[in-house]
Amino acid sequence: MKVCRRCLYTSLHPLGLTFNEEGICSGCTVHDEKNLLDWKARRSSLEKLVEGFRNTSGQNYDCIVPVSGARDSFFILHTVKKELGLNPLIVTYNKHYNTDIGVRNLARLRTLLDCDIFTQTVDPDRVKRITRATLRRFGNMYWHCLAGQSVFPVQIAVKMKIPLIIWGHHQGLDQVGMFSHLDEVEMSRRHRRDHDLFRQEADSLVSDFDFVKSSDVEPYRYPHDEEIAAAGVRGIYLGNYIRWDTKAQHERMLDLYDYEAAPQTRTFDTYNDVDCWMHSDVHDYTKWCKWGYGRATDHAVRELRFGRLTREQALAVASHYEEKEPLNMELFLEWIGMTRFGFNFNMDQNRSPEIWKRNDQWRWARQEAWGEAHRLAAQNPDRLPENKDGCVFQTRKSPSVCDSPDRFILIGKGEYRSPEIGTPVAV
Amino acid sequence: MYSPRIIATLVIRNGHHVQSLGFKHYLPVGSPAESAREYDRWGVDEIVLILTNDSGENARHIISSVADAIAVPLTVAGGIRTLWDAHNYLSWGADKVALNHVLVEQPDIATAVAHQFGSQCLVASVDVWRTGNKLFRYDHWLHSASSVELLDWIHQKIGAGAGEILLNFPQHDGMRIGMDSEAISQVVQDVGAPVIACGGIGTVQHAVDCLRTANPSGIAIGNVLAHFEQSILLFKEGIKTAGAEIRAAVKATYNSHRFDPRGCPEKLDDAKLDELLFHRIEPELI
Repeated sequence: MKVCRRCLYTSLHPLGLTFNEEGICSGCTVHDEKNLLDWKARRSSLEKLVEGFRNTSGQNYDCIVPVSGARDSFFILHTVKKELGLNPLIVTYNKHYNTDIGVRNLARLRTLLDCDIFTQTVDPDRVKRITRATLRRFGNMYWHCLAGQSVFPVQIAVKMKIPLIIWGHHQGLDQVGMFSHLDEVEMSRRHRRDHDLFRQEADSLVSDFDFVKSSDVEPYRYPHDEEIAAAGVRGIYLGNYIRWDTKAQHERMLDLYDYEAAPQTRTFDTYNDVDCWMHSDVHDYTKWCKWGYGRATDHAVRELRFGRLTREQALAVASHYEEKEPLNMELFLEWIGMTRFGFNFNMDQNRSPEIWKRNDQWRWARQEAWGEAHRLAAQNPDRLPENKDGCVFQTRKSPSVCDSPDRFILIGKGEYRSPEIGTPVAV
Repeated sequence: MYSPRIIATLVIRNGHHVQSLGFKHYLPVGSPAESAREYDRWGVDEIVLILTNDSGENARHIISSVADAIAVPLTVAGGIRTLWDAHNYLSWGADKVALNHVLVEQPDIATAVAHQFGSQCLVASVDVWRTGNKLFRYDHWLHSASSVELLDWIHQKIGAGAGEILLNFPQHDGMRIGMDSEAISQVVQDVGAPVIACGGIGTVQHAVDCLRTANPSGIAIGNVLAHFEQSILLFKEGIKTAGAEIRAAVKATYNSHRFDPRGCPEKLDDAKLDELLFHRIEPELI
């Protein structure tokens, strides 16, 4: 095992990682491009690219923008709509693990930015059967979200013949430097299957044992090649053309649109995953169980590369959050109908043997090689100039609500707020 | 006349499919088998796997998982030291083995492999270094060009039993500057064996230029195939549009599209898209 001399990533990163002669990882070298590239020129190449995709018939949208109630959705849509002047159709896959904050953020997003929205809400029973299968087979309770949000926009694009999808940043590029920004990588089925879906295409989940039928996975099937080719569907990433800094972007959106931000269980980033009960909680805990690190490391590495954290600060904050127990475990277990024992069993089946081992007390501990590699990298670290702004994540609460007893409810859960609605009316 | 083969190169490092830049820097792309599977489905004619540092059990896993995932011929380069290694690679699923550095250390190995398994599965892989007008064999192990003249070396290897030549260009690798068509042309005209050219393709035009001027038996494309959807298909479509004969491998087609300089499809006219709304598109079932 090897650890980058600059950030905290190891050679066992599930997305893959390479190192140069100086022991700096591919993620850090690609991140350096953010300070080297001419972003003005890149911005104009984006403008040129999207110009060709404007609808001229007045009967369709210019592009599709996948959104959620968090994760740079405001920034992406603001850029597409207000700055590039496009007319997007926004689409969202319903994660089922929605928080009230996420629902409010999404409501504010589509109303403040004047957009039409398509939502895909898959039958909860089906989602549960699929989630039981993915949990059992590869220890993942988030597969349906990743599969759904990465494919629903593509399905709509081929169905409605809208050939351009605009995504935010490319996760593989940002974390491990899969591609240079100059590669202008675009969405592909190859990447989705390999990295978003853990090499498990929807059809591989069909099994009698898990009660998953072929028709159950239809919402997660990628459109076939002929359909994609006929309409010429392409998905571009804004991160290739805009200097992507999610913290700064979210902070702009806090002020512009009252984006709501809240503390998370297992990371210090209060912006990125506020729409989900599970993401920085049970889902992140499963990542920890399998790979020996969590989102807190991803976020700390990101901030470290921007110079807002030192290596020592990043390691400390990551370790602090990664040791935390998930707070919403009961909620999940009740939803899926599983005991904690069953959950733990599934996790233990999927622990990476390169990272975990049982210690003398039969508890799980990280292999000695992990600590050894970190010690080695820390002996001769590669330090970036410090960013004087520091690393503070804000929280924000907006007074608006989605469910209201005396207003039109665009989309809400329709909770009973006033008991008298149920009482008979005397004439 | 044969159609030129459109070949995908997968450079492998520590078990990952990587982008290779100048034989020096690598960026992780993903799992070799997953990439190979998609390229095969997108209609590639052949796949070349270049193992840069994996051996033994890892090599077995990589080669067999890729071979399982694809239906087209598989050439594996890298890490072959003995006749036994070549035997292993072939038994794990390779259709051809490519030898490079070992040909310097053990000149007899080419004859031994050709004798044992046949010339059809022996590829001589040569890295080419250009100094002015002269072409030399580049030695990757020494990180420098050797004094051996390229054509002499190639003739020697064909004499020893190599059935195919794979040319790679470290000065072009990952640079997206196009191929050294002049050098490729020299080799193609001088030797009788099929020549595969690799290194430098960043756009469809680069591939077209090389096919036009040098007419190699196949061109191998690397990094750029991972950059967009159905990349193989788009390359083939672009090459076909430019007038070359290409094996049409899949039903999906971009024949009503125009392409941007990278080779990606431009938007169709809105009228055409509207028409497609009511057009049923069937998947290809084999």
